[in-house]
Amino acid sequence: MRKYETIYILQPDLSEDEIKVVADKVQDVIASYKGDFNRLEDWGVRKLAYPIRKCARGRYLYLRYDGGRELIAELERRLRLDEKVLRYQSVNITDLPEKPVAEKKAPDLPEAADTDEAVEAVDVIGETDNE
Amino acid sequence: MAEERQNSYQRPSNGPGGPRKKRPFQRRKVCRFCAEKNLTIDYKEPRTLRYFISERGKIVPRRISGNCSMHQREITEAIKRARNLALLPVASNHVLP
Repeated sequence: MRKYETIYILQPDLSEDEIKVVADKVQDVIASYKGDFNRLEDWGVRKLAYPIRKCARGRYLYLRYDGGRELIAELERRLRLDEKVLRYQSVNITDLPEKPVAEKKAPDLPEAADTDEAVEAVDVIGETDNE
Repeated sequence: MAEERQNSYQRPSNGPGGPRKKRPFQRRKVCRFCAEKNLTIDYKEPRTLRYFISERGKIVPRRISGNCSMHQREITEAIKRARNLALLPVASNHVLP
Protein backbone atom coordinates (compact mmCIF):
# COMPACT_ATOMS: atom_id res chain seq x y z
CA MET A 1 0.00 0.00 0.00
CA ARG A 2 1.36 3.31 -0.95
CA LYS A 3 1.03 6.47 1.03
CA TYR A 4 -0.53 9.44 -0.64
CA GLU A 5 -1.48 12.93 0.24
CA THR A 6 -3.91 14.92 -1.80
CA ILE A 7 -4.60 18.60 -1.53
CA TYR A 8 -7.69 19.88 -3.17
CA ILE A 9 -8.99 23.39 -3.38
CA LEU A 10 -12.68 24.11 -3.12
CA GLN A 11 -14.55 27.24 -3.99
CA PRO A 12 -14.31 29.66 -1.09
CA ASP A 13 -17.95 30.38 -0.53
CA LEU A 14 -19.32 26.94 0.12
CA SER A 15 -21.52 26.12 3.04
CA GLU A 16 -20.53 23.62 5.68
CA ASP A 17 -22.86 21.02 4.21
CA GLU A 18 -21.33 21.20 0.82
CA ILE A 19 -17.85 20.84 2.24
CA LYS A 20 -19.05 17.84 4.15
CA VAL A 21 -20.54 16.34 1.01
CA VAL A 22 -17.19 16.46 -0.71
CA ALA A 23 -15.45 15.10 2.36
CA ASP A 24 -17.89 12.21 2.58
CA LYS A 25 -17.54 11.43 -1.06
CA VAL A 26 -13.79 11.30 -0.72
CA GLN A 27 -13.94 9.04 2.30
CA ASP A 28 -16.40 6.75 0.58
CA VAL A 29 -14.05 6.31 -2.31
CA ILE A 30 -11.21 5.49 0.03
CA ALA A 31 -13.30 3.01 1.95
CA SER A 32 -14.71 1.32 -1.11
CA TYR A 33 -11.27 0.68 -2.52
CA LYS A 34 -10.07 -0.62 0.85
CA GLY A 35 -7.72 2.21 1.48
CA ASP A 36 -6.57 3.48 4.83
CA PHE A 37 -7.93 6.87 5.57
CA ASN A 38 -5.53 8.74 7.81
CA ARG A 39 -6.69 12.31 8.21
CA LEU A 40 -8.47 15.15 6.52
CA GLU A 41 -7.53 18.67 7.49
CA ASP A 42 -9.24 21.86 6.55
CA TRP A 43 -6.78 24.65 6.18
CA GLY A 44 -9.51 27.16 5.69
CA VAL A 45 -9.89 29.82 3.10
CA ARG A 46 -6.69 31.29 1.76
CA LYS A 47 -5.78 33.87 -0.77
CA LEU A 48 -4.57 32.25 -3.95
CA ALA A 49 -1.42 33.38 -5.67
CA TYR A 50 -3.34 33.68 -8.91
CA PRO A 51 -7.05 33.50 -9.65
CA ILE A 52 -8.35 30.06 -10.48
CA ARG A 53 -11.61 30.10 -12.37
CA LYS A 54 -12.05 33.73 -11.41
CA CYS A 55 -11.85 32.95 -7.68
CA ALA A 56 -9.22 34.88 -5.79
CA ARG A 57 -9.51 32.72 -2.68
CA GLY A 58 -9.99 29.07 -2.08
CA ARG A 59 -10.53 26.58 0.66
CA TYR A 60 -7.68 24.15 1.05
CA LEU A 61 -8.23 20.62 2.22
CA TYR A 62 -5.47 18.21 2.97
CA LEU A 63 -6.13 14.52 2.74
CA ARG A 64 -3.76 11.84 3.82
CA TYR A 65 -4.40 8.19 3.09
CA ASP A 66 -2.90 4.89 2.00
CA GLY A 67 -4.06 2.93 -0.94
CA GLY A 68 -3.38 1.33 -4.23
CA ARG A 69 -3.25 2.55 -7.76
CA GLU A 70 -6.91 2.13 -8.53
CA LEU A 71 -7.85 4.15 -5.50
CA ILE A 72 -5.95 7.19 -6.49
CA ALA A 73 -7.13 7.01 -10.09
CA GLU A 74 -10.73 6.85 -8.96
CA LEU A 75 -10.28 9.58 -6.40
CA GLU A 76 -8.80 11.97 -8.90
CA ARG A 77 -11.49 11.14 -11.38
CA ARG A 78 -14.16 11.99 -8.85
CA LEU A 79 -12.46 15.22 -7.92
CA ARG A 80 -12.15 16.19 -11.53
CA LEU A 81 -15.84 15.68 -12.10
CA ASP A 82 -16.92 17.77 -9.15
CA GLU A 83 -17.45 21.36 -10.14
CA LYS A 84 -16.79 22.71 -6.68
CA VAL A 85 -13.24 21.42 -6.73
CA LEU A 86 -11.05 24.03 -8.34
CA ARG A 87 -7.84 22.06 -8.32
CA TYR A 88 -6.34 18.95 -6.83
CA GLN A 89 -2.90 17.51 -6.55
CA SER A 90 -1.82 14.13 -5.25
CA VAL A 91 1.64 13.25 -4.13
CA ASN A 92 3.07 9.84 -3.45
CA ILE A 93 4.88 10.06 -0.13
CA THR A 94 5.65 6.41 0.35
CA ASP A 95 9.37 6.91 0.36
CA LEU A 96 9.56 10.06 2.37
CA PRO A 97 10.08 9.84 6.13
CA GLU A 98 6.92 10.35 8.07
CA LYS A 99 6.68 13.88 9.32
CA PRO A 100 5.11 14.89 12.62
CA VAL A 101 1.44 15.73 12.47
CA ALA A 102 1.78 19.31 13.69
CA GLU A 103 2.25 20.87 10.30
CA LYS A 104 -0.54 23.30 9.73
CA LYS A 105 -0.21 26.52 7.90
CA ALA A 106 -2.69 28.43 9.99
CA PRO A 107 -0.27 31.13 11.23
CA ASP A 108 0.13 32.90 7.91
CA LEU A 109 -3.50 33.26 7.02
CA PRO A 110 -4.33 36.96 7.14
CA GLU A 111 -7.96 36.69 6.10
CA ALA A 112 -8.90 33.27 7.32
CA ALA A 113 -12.49 33.18 8.40
CA ASP A 114 -13.18 30.97 11.42
CA THR A 115 -10.34 28.62 10.70
CA ASP A 116 -10.44 27.03 14.12
CA GLU A 117 -14.07 26.23 13.86
CA ALA A 118 -13.72 24.66 10.49
CA VAL A 119 -10.70 22.66 11.55
CA GLU A 120 -12.52 21.38 14.62
CA ALA A 121 -15.48 20.30 12.61
CA VAL A 122 -13.51 18.45 10.01
CA ASP A 123 -10.87 16.99 12.22
CA VAL A 124 -13.45 15.33 14.38
CA ILE A 125 -14.85 13.57 11.36
CA GLY A 126 -11.67 12.11 10.16
CA GLU A 127 -8.82 11.52 12.50
CA THR A 128 -7.65 7.96 12.68
CA ASP A 129 -4.15 7.21 13.78
CA ASN A 130 -2.84 4.27 11.88
CA GLU A 131 0.83 4.96 12.13
CA MET B 1 18.46 39.11 -2.11
CA ALA B 2 20.19 37.70 -5.14
CA GLU B 3 20.00 40.32 -7.80
CA GLU B 4 22.87 42.48 -6.63
CA ARG B 5 25.38 39.86 -7.57
CA GLN B 6 24.56 40.11 -11.21
CA ASN B 7 25.71 43.70 -11.31
CA SER B 8 29.20 42.92 -10.07
CA TYR B 9 29.69 39.65 -11.89
CA GLN B 10 31.00 39.79 -15.39
CA ARG B 11 30.79 36.75 -17.51
CA PRO B 12 34.21 36.05 -19.02
CA SER B 13 33.82 36.25 -22.74
CA ASN B 14 35.67 34.05 -25.12
CA GLY B 15 37.56 36.77 -26.88
CA PRO B 16 40.02 36.08 -29.59
CA GLY B 17 43.04 34.05 -28.47
CA GLY B 18 42.93 33.50 -24.81
CA PRO B 19 41.57 30.92 -22.49
CA ARG B 20 38.71 31.80 -20.21
CA LYS B 21 39.54 34.00 -17.28
CA LYS B 22 39.06 32.73 -13.82
CA ARG B 23 35.86 34.02 -12.26
CA PRO B 24 36.28 37.28 -10.39
CA PHE B 25 34.77 35.84 -7.24
CA GLN B 26 34.50 32.39 -5.86
CA ARG B 27 31.37 30.67 -4.73
CA ARG B 28 31.72 30.27 -1.01
CA LYS B 29 28.17 29.67 0.04
CA VAL B 30 27.27 26.29 1.35
CA CYS B 31 24.01 24.63 0.65
CA ARG B 32 21.83 25.51 3.56
CA PHE B 33 20.08 22.18 3.44
CA CYS B 34 23.28 20.20 3.55
CA ALA B 35 24.56 22.29 6.40
CA GLU B 36 21.48 21.89 8.54
CA LYS B 37 20.01 18.45 8.34
CA ASN B 38 16.62 19.16 9.85
CA LEU B 39 15.61 21.72 7.26
CA THR B 40 13.08 20.01 5.07
CA ILE B 41 11.94 20.98 1.64
CA ASP B 42 8.19 20.76 1.52
CA TYR B 43 5.95 22.06 -1.20
CA LYS B 44 3.30 22.78 1.43
CA GLU B 45 5.39 25.45 3.13
CA PRO B 46 5.58 28.45 0.86
CA ARG B 47 7.44 30.50 3.45
CA THR B 48 10.63 28.48 3.15
CA LEU B 49 10.29 28.27 -0.60
CA ARG B 50 9.85 31.99 -0.89
CA TYR B 51 13.58 32.54 -0.55
CA PHE B 52 14.18 30.62 -3.73
CA ILE B 53 11.95 32.55 -6.06
CA SER B 54 12.66 36.01 -7.33
CA GLU B 55 10.24 38.87 -6.92
CA ARG B 56 8.88 38.09 -10.35
CA GLY B 57 8.21 34.54 -9.28
CA LYS B 58 11.07 32.91 -11.17
CA ILE B 59 13.12 30.15 -9.62
CA VAL B 60 16.50 31.40 -8.47
CA PRO B 61 19.38 29.58 -10.14
CA ARG B 62 21.72 27.45 -8.14
CA ARG B 63 24.71 29.70 -8.54
CA ILE B 64 22.84 32.44 -6.77
CA SER B 65 21.08 30.46 -4.10
CA GLY B 66 24.08 28.33 -3.25
CA ASN B 67 22.26 25.03 -3.13
CA CYS B 68 23.84 21.78 -4.01
CA SER B 69 22.50 20.03 -7.06
CA MET B 70 20.37 17.51 -5.23
CA HIS B 71 18.64 20.10 -3.11
CA GLN B 72 18.21 22.45 -6.00
CA ARG B 73 16.32 19.72 -7.83
CA GLU B 74 14.14 19.14 -4.79
CA ILE B 75 13.51 22.84 -4.42
CA THR B 76 12.54 23.12 -8.05
CA GLU B 77 10.12 20.23 -7.80
CA ALA B 78 8.61 21.67 -4.63
CA ILE B 79 8.22 25.10 -6.19
CA LYS B 80 6.49 23.67 -9.22
CA ARG B 81 4.11 21.70 -7.04
CA ALA B 82 3.38 24.74 -4.93
CA ARG B 83 2.75 26.79 -8.05
CA ASN B 84 0.23 24.25 -9.15
CA LEU B 85 -1.63 24.69 -5.89
CA ALA B 86 -1.51 28.49 -6.09
CA LEU B 87 0.69 28.66 -3.01
CA LEU B 88 3.37 30.42 -5.00
CA PRO B 89 2.97 32.76 -7.94
CA VAL B 90 3.67 31.65 -11.46
CA ALA B 91 3.97 34.89 -13.38
CA SER B 92 5.25 38.32 -12.57
CA ASN B 93 1.81 39.86 -12.21
CA HIS B 94 0.69 37.34 -9.64
CA VAL B 95 0.85 38.10 -5.96
CA LEU B 96 2.50 36.28 -3.16
CA PRO B 97 -0.27 35.00 -0.91
